Amino acid sequence: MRVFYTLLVFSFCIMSCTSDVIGVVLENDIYSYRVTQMINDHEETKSDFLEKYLNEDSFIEYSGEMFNGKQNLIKVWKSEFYFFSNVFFDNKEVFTTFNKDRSYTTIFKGNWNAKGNFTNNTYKVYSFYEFKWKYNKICEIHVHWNNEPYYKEWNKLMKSKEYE
Amino acid sequence: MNRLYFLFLFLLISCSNSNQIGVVKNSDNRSLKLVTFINEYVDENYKTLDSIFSDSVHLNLNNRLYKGILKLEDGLELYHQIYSEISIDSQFLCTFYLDDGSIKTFQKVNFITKNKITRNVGSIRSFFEYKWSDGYVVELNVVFDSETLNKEEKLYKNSLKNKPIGN
Repeated sequence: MRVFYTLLVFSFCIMSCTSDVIGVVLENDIYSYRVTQMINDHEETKSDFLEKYLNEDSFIEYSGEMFNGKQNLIKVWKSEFYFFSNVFFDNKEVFTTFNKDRSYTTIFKGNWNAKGNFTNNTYKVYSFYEFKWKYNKICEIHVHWNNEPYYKEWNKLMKSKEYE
Repeated sequence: MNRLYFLFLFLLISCSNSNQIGVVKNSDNRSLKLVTFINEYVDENYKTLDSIFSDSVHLNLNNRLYKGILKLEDGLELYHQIYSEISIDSQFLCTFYLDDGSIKTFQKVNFITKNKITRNVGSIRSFFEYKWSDGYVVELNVVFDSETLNKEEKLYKNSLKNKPIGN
């Protein structure tokens, strides 16, 4: 009987280990809550939550561009408000995955909406953010979106400078 | 018997999470289909498109909306008209199976491209979100920095205008 039970437990463990599952999806967890707060902060042109949870040696990958270090990252995050105002997100979705390597990744996606400060254009850009957590702090942020609004505002700014 | 009961109870408690709303996989059938799709796209092969995408698939390409598998194929071919070479530098994908029955795949791909006209080599970092229903992709959202592509497309179109007639 003991052998039977041992085999049963052993097969249960083997079955769980050979699964193709690489993580579980969590909702209403602490990491999703923090990212939601960061995004809410961002809409109010604040970055308190981001500063609180950023690791000193964190880095951000912003549509292929890399920025290293907490202060650099905050500068990049805040630079948005030089070019845009009325920033808000719609169709927000946030969840966290608890990965097989015991790490956490929070995913935020939504439409980024804003008004260009130089062109007065309004923009809507589908954007996707990945926040990687390590020891309760964010160590990596990956942002996927189309930089087109930045180029348009930058071009307009440069043109206005030409006539000064 | 009691010991076994407690062992199973422990395993169940440790595995369960009240906040859990689904699981993530990357070697399931859907994930593998999309790896094949991207690899075939690079080789200009669209044979498996109709086994992956629904005929009326909704496409959102950097917030530009299109509908239908033919539009998708046209779009995919366009990049091969602009670029002489497209290869994949790196890719990552995973499929989310949520408890409410919804299934979606996220795929990140870094493409290396070579312009047919200028011979410029560049990279396009793209993000794909696929939504599945009844075994087919019914919605595809793609986001990438369009600046490079716009420039290359302009150069390509200008080169067509300057092409001598009859050649």
